[in-house]
Amino acid sequence: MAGLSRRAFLAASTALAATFAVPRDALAAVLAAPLKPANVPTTLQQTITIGAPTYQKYRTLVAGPGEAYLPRYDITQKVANAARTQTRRSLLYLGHYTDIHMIDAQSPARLDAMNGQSMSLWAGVIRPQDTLQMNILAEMTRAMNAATLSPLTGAPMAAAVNTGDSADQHSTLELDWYLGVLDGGSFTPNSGKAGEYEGVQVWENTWAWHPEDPSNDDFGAYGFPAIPGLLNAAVSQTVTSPGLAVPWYAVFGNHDTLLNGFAPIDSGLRALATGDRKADDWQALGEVYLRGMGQDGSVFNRLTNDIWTQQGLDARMRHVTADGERKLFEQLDFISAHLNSPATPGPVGHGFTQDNLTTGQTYWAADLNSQFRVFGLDTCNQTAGADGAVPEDQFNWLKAGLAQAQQEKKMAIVLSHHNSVTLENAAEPVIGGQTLYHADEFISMLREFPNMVAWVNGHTHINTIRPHGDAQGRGFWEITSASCVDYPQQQQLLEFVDNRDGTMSIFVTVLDHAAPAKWSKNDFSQTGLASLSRELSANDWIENPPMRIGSPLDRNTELLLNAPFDLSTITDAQVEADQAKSRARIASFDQRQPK
Amino acid sequence: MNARRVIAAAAVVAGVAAVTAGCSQVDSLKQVSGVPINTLQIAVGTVLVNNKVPILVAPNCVEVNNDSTKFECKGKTTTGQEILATGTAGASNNFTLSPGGTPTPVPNGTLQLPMVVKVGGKVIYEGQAQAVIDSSQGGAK
Repeated sequence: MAGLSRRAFLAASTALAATFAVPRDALAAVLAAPLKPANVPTTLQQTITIGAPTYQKYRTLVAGPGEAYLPRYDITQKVANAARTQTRRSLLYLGHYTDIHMIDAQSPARLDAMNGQSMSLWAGVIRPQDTLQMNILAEMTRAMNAATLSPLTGAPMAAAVNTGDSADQHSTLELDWYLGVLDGGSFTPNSGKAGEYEGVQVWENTWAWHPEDPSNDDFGAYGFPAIPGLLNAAVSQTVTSPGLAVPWYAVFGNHDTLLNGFAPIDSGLRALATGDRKADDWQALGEVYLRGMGQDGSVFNRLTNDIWTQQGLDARMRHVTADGERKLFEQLDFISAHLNSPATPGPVGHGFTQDNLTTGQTYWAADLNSQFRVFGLDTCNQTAGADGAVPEDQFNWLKAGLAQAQQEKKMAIVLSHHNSVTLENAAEPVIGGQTLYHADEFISMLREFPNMVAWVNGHTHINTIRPHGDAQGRGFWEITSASCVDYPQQQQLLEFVDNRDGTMSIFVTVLDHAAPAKWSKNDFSQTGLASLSRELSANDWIENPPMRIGSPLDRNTELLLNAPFDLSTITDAQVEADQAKSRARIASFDQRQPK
Repeated sequence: MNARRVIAAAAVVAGVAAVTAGCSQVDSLKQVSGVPINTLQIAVGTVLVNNKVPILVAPNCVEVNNDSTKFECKGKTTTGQEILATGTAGASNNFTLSPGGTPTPVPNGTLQLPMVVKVGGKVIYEGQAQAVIDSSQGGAK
């Protein structure tokens, strides 16, 4: 640690050893070792691609070659100085999760039966791999922990960020499971009856994959295999996650705000969620929803009740085992659940504070280290619709916060669920709405601040990178990650680097989860089911799986920026002090893991 | 679908329409936006990288004249040549997958989106955007 004096180094080692409960001498040895690129499994080393069809159109996955970083000069509009590779220093290294979509696949309040009305229109209400989502998040967390030292510089990961859609269908169980996997623990992804799957994948229909026997469904026609025992194995297994090694921060996604990310939640759905009846028919499910909108005794309520009776919709509801833990959560429940998180990996609240709970404000700001401030937005529309917008009060709060950060010479990163092609939702409440800002106005505002370097988001489940520059070579990068649920089930590593030549770079590294590319038949282990989930997602013909991986310009990239201010004012000692704290935290995590 | 089911379906749809008609909420009740333009952007980027085009400014795809089916993407090479790509999203075809023979709308994966990619006026790709994406991930679907 060349930037720190010997006295400062010893003081830092001692203090960090005490803070993170690691032996001082061992920590001092870790901190004294120079940073070097870490040999960690990322898509720099190996990619996963879709192989040849094995039956009908069904394909398995194969390992492919790694992808090197592609430099992008869209904002600076000049080719970068080749000497930067010898002079650069890491300022911040982050993990990025988005669109985790934890799923309680058996919840009666899921909209899965709507697939019977139109598979294309209702894409995403049910996927073949729904029962395996906890496996994905646990294996992604393993992959993230394996990459806590940067493959580019060896810098330690300071934090991870999660840009929303954490609970797929607004279930309290989904919320608890997602938090539990990221914080660490063991869970069984089941609700209702112990050890037995109850739901549409074993009921008679053509619109869901039936692993026991798909010969009479559309997925079987496509070539999906029979995998007897899969569903019961999936809901019986215990999934174990070490939790993240680093602190993590979260924002709201539209699935954390509205049912299935677009529909208001009414009393009919709330009762359905915790009850013992589940629709296996889309008309019945639609009627439950409509009936929940009406007041008892109203004309609308009488009409929907008449339809329910006359059409015999009651007979199209199946009995399932009731489970009160499937309760649909409220907006403030989402915040309080985060505030109930443990101190490690922390921070308690994962960005949300007690103030959010008290005031109802759903956005926050935090410093990730001495040089970077992150703003966690809530771009979700409370009224209706999957896409988003920025309400006026939040827009003004962010603008003031960016100005303050600039005054303090801190670089700014904005987190939101929605991205620039989906920030155009105009839905307002019938009474009491405020002005909604959409993509063009939002981007213009962000560009007013030279310290604004990155907008990190999700929502579309597609790896996408967009520049937002101006004619003077100023601007910021928008970085959108694929999801944990749809193919390719990838997330990102982000590293912010000072090139010491008047420019800085953001390195984006795409991360596959830790399960192997190929699923071995009848491997129902935690890792095996995660491999199978990825394979199933690659064959989800309702979606467009290969498109979601993005182009090479959206994956492993070096995104050049002109430095937002003179970065030489940031001393090496400051950088090393930040890194020492992160290295001590990671050493502490490693020490706690079973050998 | 029998007559009783048709009536029930119509009632459900009419109910939703009655509750939401005339509101800003109606416009919001659609799928996540951006599928065709994303498809084009990804395909164009893939073509350029596969052809080792030295990109200074990657093409950014936008709608032409606010037409959500016509797109244009402009960029620049490090040698100052213009990159220009155009694409037009066509209607989806129908096909049959169900064993029972029920026609199923074409999912997003088979979007018809022919495109042309030019660098310095020279055509380097002409064909379906989806074909580029499929071939980059292990061959045709």
